[in-house]
Amino acid sequence: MWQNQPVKRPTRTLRVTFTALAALITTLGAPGCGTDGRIVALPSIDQVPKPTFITRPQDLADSPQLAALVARDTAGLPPTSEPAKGSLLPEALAALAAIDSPPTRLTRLSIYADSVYFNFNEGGVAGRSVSAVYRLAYESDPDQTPDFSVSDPTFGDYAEFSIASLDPMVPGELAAALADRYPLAAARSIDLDLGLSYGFGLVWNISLDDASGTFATVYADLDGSIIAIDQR
Amino acid sequence: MLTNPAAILLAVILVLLPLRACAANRPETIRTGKPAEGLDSITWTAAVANDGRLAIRIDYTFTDDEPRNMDIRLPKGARYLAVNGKPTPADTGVYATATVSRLATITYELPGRVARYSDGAVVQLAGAYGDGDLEFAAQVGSAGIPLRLDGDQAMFVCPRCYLENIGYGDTPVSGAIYAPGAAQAELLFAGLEQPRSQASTGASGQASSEAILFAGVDPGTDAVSMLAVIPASAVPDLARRDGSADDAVMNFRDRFDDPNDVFRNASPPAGKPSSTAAVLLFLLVAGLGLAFVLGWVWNVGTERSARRAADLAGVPGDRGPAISPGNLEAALAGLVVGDRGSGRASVIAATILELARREILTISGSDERRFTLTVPAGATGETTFENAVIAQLRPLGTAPDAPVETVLTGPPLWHTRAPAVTRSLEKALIREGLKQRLVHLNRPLALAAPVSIAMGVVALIGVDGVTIHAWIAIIIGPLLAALALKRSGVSLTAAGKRHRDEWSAYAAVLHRDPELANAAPMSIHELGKPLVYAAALGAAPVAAEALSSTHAVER
Repeated sequence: MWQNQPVKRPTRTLRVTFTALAALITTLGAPGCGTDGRIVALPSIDQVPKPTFITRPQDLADSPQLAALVARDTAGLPPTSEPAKGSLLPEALAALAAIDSPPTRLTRLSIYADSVYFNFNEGGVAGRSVSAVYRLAYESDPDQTPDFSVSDPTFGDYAEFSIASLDPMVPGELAAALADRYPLAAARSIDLDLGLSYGFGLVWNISLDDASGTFATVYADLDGSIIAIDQR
Repeated sequence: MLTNPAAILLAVILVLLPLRACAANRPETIRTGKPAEGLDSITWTAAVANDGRLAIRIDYTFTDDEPRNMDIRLPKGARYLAVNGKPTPADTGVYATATVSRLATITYELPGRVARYSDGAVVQLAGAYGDGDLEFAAQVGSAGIPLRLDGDQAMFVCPRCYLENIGYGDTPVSGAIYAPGAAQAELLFAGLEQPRSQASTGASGQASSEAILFAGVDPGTDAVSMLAVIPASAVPDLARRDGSADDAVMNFRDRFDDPNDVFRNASPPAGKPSSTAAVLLFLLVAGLGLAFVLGWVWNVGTERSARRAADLAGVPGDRGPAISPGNLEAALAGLVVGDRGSGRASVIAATILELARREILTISGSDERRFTLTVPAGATGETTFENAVIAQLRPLGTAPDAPVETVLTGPPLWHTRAPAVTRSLEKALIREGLKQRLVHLNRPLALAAPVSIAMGVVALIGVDGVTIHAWIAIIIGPLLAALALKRSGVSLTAAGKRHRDEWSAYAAVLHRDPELANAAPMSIHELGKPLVYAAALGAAPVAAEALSSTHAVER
């Protein structure tokens, strides 16, 4: 009845309803009560320990990341491929330096069991890609003189890196470390190529074989630090 | 007010606004919504080396011990991956898997994410993909893809997408960046809500243990990106680039159009403007609360007084006043008493009866089931409300002193015009009540609209995290206030309450008179003024019903 509205008083039911409604809304809406949310606090310094950096071990066979590499069971059989001879690199680089107009930058470096391949731009001209091979003498060769040859240029557009940035001893150390740690595996090739570095920057890419074939790739920084394992 | 839904809703909005504002303003308080199922929290920590390398540790804490498969997606260039301390292989350096339970700790190093400038070094754990990203555009060509944040280059990838059995919801994220001078670091996050940060010099106080701590909420448990500016001296072995750190940050941020990619600054722990706003809101709500309590106490007091007065006046005993307590217009008596009476009441009926009593109009007929009401030409009342009633009795509801006679039969007296008559006379009675100072506007409700706007504005300009609620207060609040004011916009003045007590007591006496209770409208000349007041106070339901604009009125 309209004339009574200005002074209408709530009934008991309305009061109870309102009280319950207010309590419910306050409980649901007020922070910290009734909802399934959580309070998040800034951490104390003790709750967030400082991460540590991995340091290069003196002996690369002790590289912690090698623990990620699990040798397969090959019934004690040795790998079918010959291990890359990392120690060839110093003499191969010396042979490269002996050519006319030796390169200061490479586009690829690959070390195998008996050879080292260099790819570079002839005369530093981008696109004029040449391949130079340093190959050990065959056992049947009476002179036992390593062979070094340079191909004719072909077109190739590849990213370069500086030879001066290389430590020639590292591939040998890596090969020895892997042979020591995994006697039934062999580093079939040791490559240095930006295209094979998979976002790591410029790193050594080492393909590991066992008696069953290639089973892993080891990535190592230029100083030999083994940074990642890709195991199939 | 308590019977007024609009007022109740408005009160709830206005109470919740400062509550939420205060909660949002407390710097140490970060609140999640519904937590992500399966994932309890993420802790992300990094240390910055002199050459800019980052050592990163991410702890995923699950809510159960169930073993779950974890697809680990690493940012490009991540090295030394380990899961729970165990070195782990990664396909092409970015994809790995592990089975974990309860806690998964991912650690790796990440070079190439810090750029040093003259004024600082930018730690960038954010990437972009789309046409605006040169590398991406080179890969896919111009595909018309807008620039978006790349989750794969973020602090961590979308946990919900790569971790098994993680539901959609909010996940708490906390962590730290360790770097010399980190106390001065500025952190900006994308995908992290309510970010907060705080400097820590570490337990030893050495620069090497200096860190900036942070926390926030990852809504939807998606990838979170970060840009941090640390002192340039933190990375002395890193080559310096041209430009400034601020420009580098701005250039990166400005490439994005999508509001979801906006970076938010992790606010310092004590935001002064927010505190001021919170205090203002608190004072506002405290003032309103005090006014409400005082009003309630006053109301209770006056009700008790009224009951005492009614007791003294003979209600419910036999000592009630036999004569009316004054010559207050019957309609106004009905206004002040309201529903304190019982039975059916109508101030319109009372006014018609009063006009009939003074022979300004006539009521004829045998009984209340069939009667004729005649309003002579030129009939006028003595009060504003009487004239308003007479005007409504005229065919067009206009001038009371129409030069023609109006004859109405009833019941029903008002037919289809009843609702319009009710609305019109309601306003007229309220106006008369205001004029006679028996009622006044309901001040708290009248203030509700400006208060609602003020609270919303204060919340908007000074408090973080209550924007939607504040907008509701600003826009919906005044509408609710207007509705509430319309519904219960007046309350009794002191004089009105005094009249209410007196007339309530008189109403109790009238209620005990069976002759009044059964009186038909045409009995007005026999029963006189008591019937007029009885109709207004609910003691003459038969007459009231017959003449009321609502006819069969139920109380």
